[in-house]
Amino acid sequence: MPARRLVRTVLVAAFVLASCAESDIAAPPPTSSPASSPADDSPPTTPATLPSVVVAGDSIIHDVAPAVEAALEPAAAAVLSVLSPSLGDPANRETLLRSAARARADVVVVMVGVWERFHTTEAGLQIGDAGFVEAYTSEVLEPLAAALDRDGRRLLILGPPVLKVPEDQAVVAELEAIWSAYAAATATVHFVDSDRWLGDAGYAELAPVSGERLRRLDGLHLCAAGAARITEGLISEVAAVLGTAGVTPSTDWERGSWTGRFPEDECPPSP
Amino acid sequence: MSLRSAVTQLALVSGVTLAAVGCGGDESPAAGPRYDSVAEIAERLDGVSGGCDLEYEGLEDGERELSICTLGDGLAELSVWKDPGAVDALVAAGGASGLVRGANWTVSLDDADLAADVAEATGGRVAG
Repeated sequence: MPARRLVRTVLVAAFVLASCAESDIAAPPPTSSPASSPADDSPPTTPATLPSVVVAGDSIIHDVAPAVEAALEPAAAAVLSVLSPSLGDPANRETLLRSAARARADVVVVMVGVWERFHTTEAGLQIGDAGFVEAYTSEVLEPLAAALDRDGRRLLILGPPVLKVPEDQAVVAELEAIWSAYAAATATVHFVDSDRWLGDAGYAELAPVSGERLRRLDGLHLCAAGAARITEGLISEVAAVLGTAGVTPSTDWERGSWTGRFPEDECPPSP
Repeated sequence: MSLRSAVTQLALVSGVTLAAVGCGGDESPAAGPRYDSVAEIAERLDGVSGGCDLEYEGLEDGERELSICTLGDGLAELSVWKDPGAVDALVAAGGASGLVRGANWTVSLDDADLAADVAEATGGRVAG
């Protein structure tokens, strides 16, 4: 019966179309930031008058980003946290650029190093090899900085805090030298080593004077006091990059709920 | 062929085509299976170059769950994307020589030779 089959087929097609429409307008996953999901092209909710800051990088800075959010949101800036364990991975660079675009970022802060030190260039070069600096700069840093600059965004590279294992730290220091030199030669790129905010005297698990615990027992990640110190320094650097006199943090941000993310067994009380 | 018959055929073809291609994004069986977590992907890599021992439980931002492991002599970044369309966007952007993908996940490698092994173990496919 052609008429009945016609009706049934049209109904099936309509159902499929309706399902598609429903999935297309499904709410984006919840985020702690003003940015939209990748599928949502609607304008972000960042107020036009506030600067927008993307804080990206590995698990170390992932612990700092909530502190930066607590300090700057909602009055001083919009903050978006983006995972990017390395810049050498093209997928991470692409994700970072898309996130920065959606957030309409003014400044993109990146802290990598722990995993970046294993980067292999297209020609198979690794850090320490002749030609690595040039290849890493042209394959990784230049495309990223240029893409950000095309949209008027500044790149602020943070050197990670000193690693406990000297051999690992030596390799990270080589990367920091590359980033520093590139920033010195590139107007839209800035570099600062976060070591200075934790004492600048090599690896320190505890703060020299107060005795606060800065680092986790793994010799790598931060505890709340370390994250707070890096946040303070980072806010100053962001203000300098933005060319503003200063960015006023929220009151009592240091005691916000973000401090609860640091496990006690990894951040035990100071002896 | 009558008008009614022609319309019926058209509707049949449209319905079947829509059902086959889905609703956008590459979520067809050809894109590979879906995984709910990076831990699930890591389990599939047990037999690949010594296995993938995740450095940490999956971290999350607005886009994905992510973790990382060493695989052979190189690194593997495992991601489960909240929007499967992000996988298509990464593939379309190109540039990744060791990217393995599924419907909603990627494994990014810095050793392209491992990509085929990872694809076979996960049911995904090498995207770049």
